[in-house]
Amino acid sequence: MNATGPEQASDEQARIDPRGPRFTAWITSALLGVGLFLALLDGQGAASGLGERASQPGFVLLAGAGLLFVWGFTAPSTAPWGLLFRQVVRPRLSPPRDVEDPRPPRFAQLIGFTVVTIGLALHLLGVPWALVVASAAALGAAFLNAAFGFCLGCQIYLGLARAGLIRPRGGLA
Amino acid sequence: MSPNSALLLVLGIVLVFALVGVLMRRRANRRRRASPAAPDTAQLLGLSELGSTATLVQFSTQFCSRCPGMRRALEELTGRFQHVVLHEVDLTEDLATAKALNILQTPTVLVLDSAGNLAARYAGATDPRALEAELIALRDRQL
Repeated sequence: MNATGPEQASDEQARIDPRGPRFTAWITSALLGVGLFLALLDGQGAASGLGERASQPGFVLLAGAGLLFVWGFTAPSTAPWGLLFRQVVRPRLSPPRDVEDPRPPRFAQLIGFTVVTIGLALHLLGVPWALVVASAAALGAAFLNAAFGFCLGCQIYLGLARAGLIRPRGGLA
Repeated sequence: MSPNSALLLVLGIVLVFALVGVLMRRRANRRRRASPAAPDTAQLLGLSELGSTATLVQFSTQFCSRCPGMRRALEELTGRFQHVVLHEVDLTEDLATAKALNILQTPTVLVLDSAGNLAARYAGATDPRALEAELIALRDRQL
Protein backbone atom coordinates (compact mmCIF):
# COMPACT_ATOMS: atom_id res chain seq x y z
CA MET A 1 0.00 0.00 0.00
CA ASN A 2 1.64 3.15 -1.13
CA ALA A 3 -0.25 6.18 0.03
CA THR A 4 -0.42 8.98 -2.47
CA GLY A 5 -2.67 12.00 -2.55
CA PRO A 6 -6.16 11.67 -3.94
CA GLU A 7 -5.37 14.10 -6.77
CA GLN A 8 -2.41 12.05 -7.89
CA ALA A 9 -4.44 8.88 -7.82
CA SER A 10 -6.81 9.96 -10.56
CA ASP A 11 -3.88 10.54 -12.88
CA GLU A 12 -1.72 7.60 -11.97
CA GLN A 13 -4.20 4.83 -11.48
CA ALA A 14 -6.87 3.60 -13.80
CA ARG A 15 -10.32 4.16 -12.36
CA ILE A 16 -12.49 1.11 -12.09
CA ASP A 17 -16.15 0.21 -12.45
CA PRO A 18 -17.34 -0.12 -8.83
CA ARG A 19 -19.57 -3.06 -9.81
CA GLY A 20 -16.42 -5.14 -10.49
CA PRO A 21 -15.39 -5.40 -6.81
CA ARG A 22 -19.01 -6.12 -5.85
CA PHE A 23 -19.10 -8.99 -8.36
CA THR A 24 -15.79 -10.27 -6.97
CA ALA A 25 -17.22 -10.00 -3.45
CA TRP A 26 -20.20 -12.23 -4.36
CA ILE A 27 -17.89 -14.94 -5.76
CA THR A 28 -15.55 -14.57 -2.77
CA SER A 29 -18.53 -14.93 -0.43
CA ALA A 30 -19.58 -18.16 -2.15
CA LEU A 31 -16.04 -19.50 -1.98
CA LEU A 32 -15.65 -18.60 1.70
CA GLY A 33 -19.11 -20.02 2.43
CA VAL A 34 -18.02 -23.37 0.97
CA GLY A 35 -14.73 -23.06 2.89
CA LEU A 36 -16.60 -22.45 6.13
CA PHE A 37 -18.89 -25.41 5.42
CA LEU A 38 -15.90 -27.70 4.84
CA ALA A 39 -14.10 -26.35 7.90
CA LEU A 40 -17.20 -27.12 9.98
CA LEU A 41 -17.37 -30.65 8.53
CA ASP A 42 -13.69 -31.23 9.38
CA GLY A 43 -14.56 -30.20 12.87
CA GLN A 44 -12.32 -29.75 15.83
CA GLY A 45 -9.10 -31.61 16.42
CA ALA A 46 -10.01 -34.59 14.22
CA ALA A 47 -6.68 -34.41 12.45
CA SER A 48 -3.64 -35.01 14.59
CA GLY A 49 -0.59 -34.50 12.41
CA LEU A 50 0.55 -31.39 10.55
CA GLY A 51 0.34 -33.11 7.18
CA GLU A 52 -3.14 -34.33 7.97
CA ARG A 53 -4.30 -30.85 9.00
CA ALA A 54 -2.78 -29.34 5.85
CA SER A 55 -4.65 -31.75 3.59
CA GLN A 56 -8.14 -31.28 5.05
CA PRO A 57 -10.56 -30.01 2.37
CA GLY A 58 -11.43 -26.86 4.33
CA PHE A 59 -7.77 -25.95 4.68
CA VAL A 60 -7.04 -26.54 1.00
CA LEU A 61 -10.00 -24.47 -0.19
CA LEU A 62 -9.27 -21.57 2.16
CA ALA A 63 -5.59 -21.65 1.16
CA GLY A 64 -6.85 -21.21 -2.41
CA ALA A 65 -9.02 -18.29 -1.31
CA GLY A 66 -5.96 -16.81 0.41
CA LEU A 67 -3.96 -17.03 -2.81
CA LEU A 68 -6.78 -15.31 -4.71
CA PHE A 69 -6.65 -12.50 -2.15
CA VAL A 70 -2.90 -12.16 -2.78
CA TRP A 71 -3.60 -11.97 -6.49
CA GLY A 72 -6.29 -9.39 -5.80
CA PHE A 73 -4.02 -6.95 -4.00
CA THR A 74 -0.78 -7.50 -5.89
CA ALA A 75 -2.08 -7.55 -9.47
CA PRO A 76 -5.78 -6.65 -9.44
CA SER A 77 -5.86 -6.06 -13.20
CA THR A 78 -5.19 -9.76 -13.88
CA ALA A 79 -7.11 -11.26 -10.92
CA PRO A 80 -9.51 -13.91 -12.29
CA TRP A 81 -12.87 -12.63 -10.97
CA GLY A 82 -12.10 -9.07 -12.10
CA LEU A 83 -11.15 -10.43 -15.50
CA LEU A 84 -14.35 -12.47 -15.68
CA PHE A 85 -16.32 -9.34 -14.81
CA ARG A 86 -14.66 -7.21 -17.47
CA GLN A 87 -14.75 -9.87 -20.19
CA VAL A 88 -18.16 -11.43 -19.64
CA VAL A 89 -20.36 -9.42 -17.27
CA ARG A 90 -19.60 -5.79 -17.97
CA PRO A 91 -20.31 -5.91 -21.73
CA ARG A 92 -23.89 -6.93 -20.82
CA LEU A 93 -24.37 -4.05 -18.37
CA SER A 94 -25.05 -0.39 -19.02
CA PRO A 95 -22.02 1.89 -18.69
CA PRO A 96 -21.13 2.69 -15.07
CA ARG A 97 -22.60 5.84 -13.50
CA ASP A 98 -19.34 6.55 -11.74
CA VAL A 99 -15.84 5.17 -11.89
CA GLU A 100 -13.90 4.79 -8.70
CA ASP A 101 -10.53 4.57 -7.08
CA PRO A 102 -9.06 1.02 -7.18
CA ARG A 103 -7.33 1.36 -3.80
CA PRO A 104 -10.23 0.63 -1.41
CA PRO A 105 -10.97 -2.84 -2.88
CA ARG A 106 -7.25 -3.63 -2.88
CA PHE A 107 -7.09 -2.73 0.79
CA ALA A 108 -10.03 -5.07 1.42
CA GLN A 109 -8.24 -7.90 -0.41
CA LEU A 110 -5.19 -7.35 1.79
CA ILE A 111 -7.29 -7.52 4.96
CA GLY A 112 -9.09 -10.64 3.66
CA PHE A 113 -5.73 -12.25 3.02
CA THR A 114 -4.51 -11.32 6.51
CA VAL A 115 -7.57 -12.79 8.24
CA VAL A 116 -7.53 -16.04 6.21
CA THR A 117 -3.76 -16.45 6.66
CA ILE A 118 -4.00 -16.08 10.44
CA GLY A 119 -6.71 -18.75 10.41
CA LEU A 120 -4.65 -21.10 8.23
CA ALA A 121 -1.53 -20.64 10.37
CA LEU A 122 -3.35 -21.23 13.66
CA HIS A 123 -5.05 -24.28 12.16
CA LEU A 124 -1.66 -25.74 11.20
CA LEU A 125 -0.51 -25.15 14.76
CA GLY A 126 -3.48 -27.20 15.90
CA VAL A 127 -5.64 -24.41 17.35
CA PRO A 128 -9.22 -25.74 17.35
CA TRP A 129 -11.85 -23.78 15.38
CA ALA A 130 -9.22 -21.37 13.99
CA LEU A 131 -10.28 -22.10 10.42
CA VAL A 132 -13.98 -21.81 11.25
CA VAL A 133 -13.59 -18.44 12.98
CA ALA A 134 -11.30 -16.98 10.29
CA SER A 135 -13.46 -18.11 7.39
CA ALA A 136 -16.64 -16.88 9.11
CA ALA A 137 -15.03 -13.44 9.66
CA ALA A 138 -13.82 -13.23 6.06
CA LEU A 139 -17.19 -14.47 4.78
CA GLY A 140 -18.93 -11.75 6.82
CA ALA A 141 -16.80 -8.98 5.34
CA ALA A 142 -17.16 -10.29 1.77
CA PHE A 143 -20.91 -10.82 2.11
CA LEU A 144 -21.50 -7.36 3.63
CA ASN A 145 -19.45 -5.87 0.80
CA ALA A 146 -21.43 -7.75 -1.85
CA ALA A 147 -24.90 -7.20 -0.41
CA PHE A 148 -24.59 -3.80 1.31
CA GLY A 149 -21.56 -2.12 -0.25
CA PHE A 150 -19.80 -2.38 3.10
CA CYS A 151 -16.21 -1.27 2.78
CA LEU A 152 -13.45 -2.49 5.08
CA GLY A 153 -11.25 0.49 4.33
CA CYS A 154 -14.04 2.80 5.55
CA GLN A 155 -14.59 0.88 8.74
CA ILE A 156 -11.18 -0.20 9.91
CA TYR A 157 -8.43 1.79 8.17
CA LEU A 158 -8.43 4.64 10.71
CA GLY A 159 -8.73 2.25 13.64
CA LEU A 160 -5.76 0.14 12.45
CA ALA A 161 -3.71 3.20 11.56
CA ARG A 162 -4.44 4.89 14.87
CA ALA A 163 -3.52 1.70 16.71
CA GLY A 164 -0.21 1.74 14.83
CA LEU A 165 -0.88 -1.55 13.01
CA ILE A 166 -0.70 0.13 9.61
CA ARG A 167 1.57 2.95 8.63
CA PRO A 168 0.09 5.36 6.10
CA ARG A 169 3.26 5.07 4.04
CA GLY A 170 5.02 1.79 3.48
CA GLY A 171 2.33 -0.79 4.05
CA LEU A 172 1.88 -2.94 7.11
CA ALA A 173 3.83 -1.93 10.16
CA MET B 1 -20.20 -32.13 12.40
CA SER B 2 -22.89 -33.53 10.11
CA PRO B 3 -23.36 -31.91 6.68
CA ASN B 4 -26.86 -30.79 7.61
CA SER B 5 -25.89 -28.95 10.76
CA ALA B 6 -22.81 -27.47 9.03
CA LEU B 7 -25.03 -26.13 6.24
CA LEU B 8 -27.50 -24.71 8.74
CA LEU B 9 -24.69 -23.03 10.64
CA VAL B 10 -23.29 -21.43 7.46
CA LEU B 11 -26.74 -20.10 6.57
CA GLY B 12 -27.24 -18.89 10.14
CA ILE B 13 -23.94 -17.01 10.07
CA VAL B 14 -24.85 -15.35 6.76
CA LEU B 15 -28.22 -14.37 8.25
CA VAL B 16 -26.52 -12.79 11.26
CA PHE B 17 -24.27 -10.76 8.94
CA ALA B 18 -27.31 -9.67 6.92
CA LEU B 19 -28.79 -8.35 10.15
CA VAL B 20 -25.51 -6.57 10.92
CA GLY B 21 -25.68 -4.98 7.46
CA VAL B 22 -29.19 -3.67 8.04
CA LEU B 23 -28.21 -2.25 11.44
CA MET B 24 -25.08 -0.62 10.02
CA ARG B 25 -27.08 1.03 7.28
CA ARG B 26 -29.49 2.38 9.86
CA ARG B 27 -26.71 3.66 12.09
CA ALA B 28 -25.17 5.65 9.24
CA ASN B 29 -28.23 7.92 9.28
CA ARG B 30 -28.17 8.48 13.00
CA ARG B 31 -27.39 11.98 14.14
CA ARG B 32 -24.83 12.35 16.87
CA ARG B 33 -25.08 15.55 18.82
CA ALA B 34 -21.98 17.57 19.45
CA SER B 35 -20.53 16.82 22.85
CA PRO B 36 -20.18 19.89 25.09
CA ALA B 37 -16.46 19.30 25.35
CA ALA B 38 -16.00 19.22 21.57
CA PRO B 39 -12.86 21.08 20.52
CA ASP B 40 -13.19 24.18 18.37
CA THR B 41 -13.54 22.20 15.16
CA ALA B 42 -13.09 24.97 12.61
CA GLN B 43 -9.95 26.21 14.32
CA LEU B 44 -8.56 22.74 14.82
CA LEU B 45 -8.94 21.99 11.13
CA GLY B 46 -7.65 25.40 10.12
CA LEU B 47 -10.64 25.97 7.87
CA SER B 48 -10.09 29.18 5.97
CA GLU B 49 -13.60 29.54 4.67
CA LEU B 50 -16.82 29.11 6.64
CA GLY B 51 -20.31 29.26 5.23
CA SER B 52 -22.43 32.01 6.77
CA THR B 53 -25.25 29.47 7.15
CA ALA B 54 -23.34 26.26 7.71
CA THR B 55 -20.21 24.38 6.82
CA LEU B 56 -20.00 20.66 6.06
CA VAL B 57 -16.72 18.88 6.65
CA GLN B 58 -16.34 15.43 5.13
CA PHE B 59 -13.52 13.20 6.36
CA SER B 60 -12.18 10.65 3.89
CA THR B 61 -9.27 8.33 3.37
CA GLN B 62 -7.81 6.73 0.27
CA PHE B 63 -9.09 3.33 1.34
CA CYS B 64 -12.69 4.43 1.59
CA SER B 65 -14.82 3.35 -1.37
CA ARG B 66 -17.91 5.20 -0.09
CA CYS B 67 -16.14 8.55 0.20
CA PRO B 68 -16.07 9.69 -3.44
CA GLY B 69 -19.80 8.99 -3.80
CA MET B 70 -20.51 10.84 -0.57
CA ARG B 71 -18.45 13.75 -1.82
CA ARG B 72 -20.46 13.92 -5.06
CA ALA B 73 -23.73 13.81 -3.14
CA LEU B 74 -22.59 16.57 -0.79
CA GLU B 75 -21.39 18.73 -3.67
CA GLU B 76 -24.80 18.42 -5.23
CA LEU B 77 -26.47 19.16 -1.88
CA THR B 78 -24.39 22.19 -0.90
CA GLY B 79 -24.78 23.56 -4.42
CA ARG B 80 -28.46 24.02 -3.67
CA PHE B 81 -27.74 26.26 -0.66
CA GLN B 82 -26.39 29.76 -0.99
CA HIS B 83 -24.27 30.11 2.11
CA VAL B 84 -23.09 26.59 2.76
CA VAL B 85 -19.47 25.64 2.25
CA LEU B 86 -18.16 22.08 1.84
CA HIS B 87 -14.71 20.95 2.89
CA GLU B 88 -13.15 17.53 2.47
CA VAL B 89 -10.29 16.43 4.74
CA ASP B 90 -8.11 13.45 3.80
CA LEU B 91 -7.16 11.66 7.01
CA THR B 92 -5.06 8.92 5.39
CA GLU B 93 -1.87 10.39 6.81
CA ASP B 94 -3.33 12.88 9.24
CA LEU B 95 -3.94 10.57 12.16
CA ALA B 96 -3.50 13.39 14.67
CA THR B 97 -6.68 15.04 13.41
CA ALA B 98 -8.52 11.72 13.42
CA LYS B 99 -7.47 11.29 17.03
CA ALA B 100 -8.34 14.84 18.07
CA LEU B 101 -11.86 14.55 16.65
CA ASN B 102 -12.20 10.88 17.56
CA ILE B 103 -12.98 9.79 14.02
CA LEU B 104 -13.00 6.02 13.65
CA GLN B 105 -14.58 5.51 10.26
CA THR B 106 -15.01 7.28 6.96
CA PRO B 107 -16.95 8.98 5.59
CA THR B 108 -17.70 11.01 8.69
CA VAL B 109 -19.46 14.33 8.17
CA LEU B 110 -19.44 17.20 10.64
CA VAL B 111 -22.04 19.93 10.42
CA LEU B 112 -20.76 23.29 11.66
CA ASP B 113 -23.06 26.22 12.36
CA SER B 114 -22.51 29.79 11.14
CA ALA B 115 -19.98 30.43 13.93
CA GLY B 116 -18.01 27.30 13.02
CA ASN B 117 -19.17 25.40 16.10
CA LEU B 118 -19.96 21.72 15.83
CA ALA B 119 -23.71 21.22 15.42
CA ALA B 120 -23.96 17.54 14.50
CA ARG B 121 -21.98 14.58 13.39
CA TYR B 122 -22.84 11.69 11.07
CA ALA B 123 -20.61 8.62 10.76
CA GLY B 124 -20.94 6.27 7.79
CA ALA B 125 -22.43 6.55 4.33
CA THR B 126 -25.21 8.88 5.44
CA ASP B 127 -28.31 9.52 3.36
CA PRO B 128 -27.84 13.08 2.01
CA ARG B 129 -31.47 13.81 2.96
CA ALA B 130 -30.52 13.67 6.65
CA LEU B 131 -27.86 16.29 6.01
CA GLU B 132 -30.25 18.35 3.93
CA ALA B 133 -32.63 18.50 6.91
CA GLU B 134 -29.69 19.59 9.03
CA LEU B 135 -28.86 22.45 6.64
CA ILE B 136 -32.48 23.55 6.38
CA ALA B 137 -32.72 23.69 10.18
CA LEU B 138 -29.59 25.85 10.41
CA ARG B 139 -30.83 28.14 7.63
CA ASP B 140 -34.25 28.56 9.23
CA ARG B 141 -32.64 29.40 12.53
CA GLN B 142 -31.15 32.47 10.89
CA LEU B 143 -34.44 33.79 9.54
